[in-house]
Amino acid sequence: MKFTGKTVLVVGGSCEMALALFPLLAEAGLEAVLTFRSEEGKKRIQDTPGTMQTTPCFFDLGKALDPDGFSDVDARFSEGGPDYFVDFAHGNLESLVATASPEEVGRYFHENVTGRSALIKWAARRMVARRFGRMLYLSSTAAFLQNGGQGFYAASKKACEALYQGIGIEMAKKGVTTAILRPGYVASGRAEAFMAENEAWVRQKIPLGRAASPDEVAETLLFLLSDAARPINATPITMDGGLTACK
Amino acid sequence: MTVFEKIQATLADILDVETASIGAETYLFRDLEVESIDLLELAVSLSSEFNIDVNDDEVFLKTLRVYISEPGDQVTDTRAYLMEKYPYLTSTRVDEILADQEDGPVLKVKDIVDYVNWRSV
Repeated sequence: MKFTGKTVLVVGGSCEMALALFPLLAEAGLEAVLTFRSEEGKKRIQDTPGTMQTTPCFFDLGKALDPDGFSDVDARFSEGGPDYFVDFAHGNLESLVATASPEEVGRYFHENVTGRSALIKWAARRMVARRFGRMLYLSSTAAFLQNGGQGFYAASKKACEALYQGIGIEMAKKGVTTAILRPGYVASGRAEAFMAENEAWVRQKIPLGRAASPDEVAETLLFLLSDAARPINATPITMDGGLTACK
Repeated sequence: MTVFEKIQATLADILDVETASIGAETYLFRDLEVESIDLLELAVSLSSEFNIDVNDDEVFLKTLRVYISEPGDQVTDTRAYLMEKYPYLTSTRVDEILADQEDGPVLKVKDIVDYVNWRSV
């Protein structure tokens, strides 16, 4: 795979998919910076074999609108860039639509949608300065088919997909393109426990008969970052083993 | 290179036109047919080229039409109001702008030069 760019910012860098992506980026000759927003996240990055050659960087979507919200990432990219940007960060608000408090909903959207628009603006302006950039957003099949309790999560995923689509539509002629990946079930984190308990259900419900692995997601993301994938622009791609194709 | 020459070169590069076709009196929208995405690129270039904070609304007179058509009840003198909103424009230029509202956006290359000079102080 060919890569015109060199530097990568991975936001939400302590999640399993990001940690699976990092060694692939390094093998491809790309220099990646992983962000964390808590000490646990920082430690998770540092404790992962193969991340020795990178120093994690602080970034918190919830603080993106603060005056120094971007000071750490600015310092890491003081020479320009990043050329690539992979966005895994996303908070969850699991609640019935009719029970959530409006204040909590406001905070949730402020962080995940407004904060992200500031992040996208930050990256887009840096990319247009070099007329090159590629952004990937980790969405979810919940943006297409949601379950009860996922109203706010799905709403914010849809909103963020629209922001990334907007960048791809508006800035592709300036060299900046975007793609959105919607994984279904991925065998990582909380989902792994759920799937272990509901193995028969997973086998019956997903045509592929299993969840995707973080490594499969990471390899797909690497391809989506590559030069050949650039015409995949402003569009979501579903990676759910066929789950959302079924009635 | 002067501020004007740098802006001229940047615009020529962004719009892929000859530098000679861009003068201080050239209109960005009417003559060069810039799109908003070109202005975004120009703002980013100005910011790094001159090491200044660029306010897109201010430098490209984006809110000018609203300031003129809906200035608000407390505004009695549009000319003074515009001079307050755009402190980098001379009074002569504000008069010129007020007399030039018929044929589309008034933004000229010289306005951007004045903005950069004002921000660089």
